[in-house]
Amino acid sequence: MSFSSFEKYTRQTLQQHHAAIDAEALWANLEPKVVKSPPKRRGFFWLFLGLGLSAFVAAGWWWSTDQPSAAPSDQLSATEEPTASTPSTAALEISTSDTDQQAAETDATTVAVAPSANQPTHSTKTTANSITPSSTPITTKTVSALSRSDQTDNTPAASIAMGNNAEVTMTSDASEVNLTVSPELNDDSPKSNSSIDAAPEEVNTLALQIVNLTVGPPALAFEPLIPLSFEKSEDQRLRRRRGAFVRNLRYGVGAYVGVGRPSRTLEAREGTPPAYEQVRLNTEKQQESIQAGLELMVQSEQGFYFRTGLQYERIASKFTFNSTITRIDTIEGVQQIIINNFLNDTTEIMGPVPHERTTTFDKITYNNFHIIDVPLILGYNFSQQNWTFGLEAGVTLNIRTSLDGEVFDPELNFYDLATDEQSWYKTNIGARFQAGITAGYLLDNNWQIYFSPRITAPANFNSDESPIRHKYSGLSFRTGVRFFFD
Amino acid sequence: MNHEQENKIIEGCQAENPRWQKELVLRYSGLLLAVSQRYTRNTETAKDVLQEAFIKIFRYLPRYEPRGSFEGWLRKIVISCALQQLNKKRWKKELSGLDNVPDMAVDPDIFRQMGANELIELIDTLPDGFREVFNLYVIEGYSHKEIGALLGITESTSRSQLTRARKLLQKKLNNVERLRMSI
Repeated sequence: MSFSSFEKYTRQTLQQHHAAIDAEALWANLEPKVVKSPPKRRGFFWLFLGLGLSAFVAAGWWWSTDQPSAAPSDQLSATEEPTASTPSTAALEISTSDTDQQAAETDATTVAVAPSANQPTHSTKTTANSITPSSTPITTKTVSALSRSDQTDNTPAASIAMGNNAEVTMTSDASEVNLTVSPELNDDSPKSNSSIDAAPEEVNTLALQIVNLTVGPPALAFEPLIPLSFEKSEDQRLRRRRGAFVRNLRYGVGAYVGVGRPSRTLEAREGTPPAYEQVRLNTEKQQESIQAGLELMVQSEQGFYFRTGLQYERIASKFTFNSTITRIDTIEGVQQIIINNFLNDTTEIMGPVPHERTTTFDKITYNNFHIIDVPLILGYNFSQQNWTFGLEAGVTLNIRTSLDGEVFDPELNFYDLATDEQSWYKTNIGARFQAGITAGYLLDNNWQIYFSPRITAPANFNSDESPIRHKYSGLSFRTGVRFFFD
Repeated sequence: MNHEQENKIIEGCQAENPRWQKELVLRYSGLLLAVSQRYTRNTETAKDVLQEAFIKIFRYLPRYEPRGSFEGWLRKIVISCALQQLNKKRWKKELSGLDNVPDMAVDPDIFRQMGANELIELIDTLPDGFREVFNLYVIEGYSHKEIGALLGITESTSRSQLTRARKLLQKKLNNVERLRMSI
């Protein structure tokens, strides 16, 4: 008897065979796992992530605005006691880069002089690096403006009030403003006083180089290149500190390449036979991912930075399937050979004979996801000599996702990923969270090379039409070079 | 179980009603445990696989579309879970030394006397790879293409495993026959 009867009997017997089991106990175990629990509150994850990032940014802002400046180049108050009362005249010259010819032609001003003989101190609030009191009588003082961007044709509301009944005159021609100060010292006053006020919109952008300054006694000698600022209030000072933060930003551009080992998860959707999930797992093998990008970066003096740019990533997998087809045809051939020994002859009897043909079919396809992203990353760098070590986190906003290759569909037909006829895959996978650490080395003042391992949160690549949920996350290693502008 | 009852269970489970979920477990656990046992050999492992399979069944049921047999759909999930439990690397180890199994006829009187448990015991004596292919092809009715995709092997490997499984079973059945005749 053929073996097929045994197989038929086995199939009939075993297909309806029930094993003994305590079904009530099984349900008792299953019940807590299958009775529907409240949906996962994934919103909380994003809420906490948003709060965390906000706190990070706020901390960076607070740090940058509340730190006492190591070199308060934009703010300095000097109080001086004059040591001599020698009368003198002072000439204050201001050269501007103002290109407004008309404004300059009409810009002749005599500014008010406020006697303040009774005030014993000399107070000047400037952006000077240092003010050195000097008892040496010097007869002229010169202030050269290096830049002035907002000069208008209105008469500047500047005033220079100087002690000892000084007269201050400011004139200008096409591109130069001359300011002459002629103090008339009151001999009765043992001390002189001078202060300089100016409306910020007129002089705030002036960078003055005071070559020499003497307002009678005391004379002041300023270090060269002094940017001026004249705000007084607390709000103005706070704004100025923030301005310093902005001015201290350093900009950079860079390029990087990376390689990663993505982690893939496949999960059959409801209604899809889980066997299909197993088929996909068995026929597709995950390969490496590669990435490359260009970046723009802005970094504060304190080490906080933001970077963005454009990034390309390719995630590859290998689809392998082997199939053997055996085909038996009937062809015309030799069915029998009769050998006659007496006549030493052979006779061939022709007829239909079976012909077996075996075809082995090996299919190997490399499937690729092509992903174009814009990263928005915040980070902090800690510097140690030429080394920087940093921590960064943020999101990558997907611009476009495309793919090519082949996989099995649930009926075990080949499904072309490039055409994606049933729209299984998204063309945009949205935002993905990523975080990483960086180690960089400054080659010189401008160039930096760095190495950065990072993780990317899982992203779903499939639409609702897909029979399977296909997610990628992973670890990648990136190396790149950055150029920071001076 | 009639078709109407089956539909009630499906609809109840799709609505995630615990009463009908329990009903499904009570109705099908014996049948599905038998399926699981054929692939896992070990009863405890088979129960673990069954529990995992039920969790998947309840997860996938809300979008189940009754295109084929519901029982067949349940069996596929159990088989899939069972195969995931098994280590596919055993294949190569079990191939050696099994090429020269003689082809023998089988006396129908031998296996006709065998019940389900004896048949399961007999099939359980096969190496894992052979057993999986035999179960999938002979009992579940999968094609070699499906088996190849499901087990991550080629179609030709599936065919050769089935051939060797058959030869091995023939040999074992004839051994049983000889044993009986000697008694």
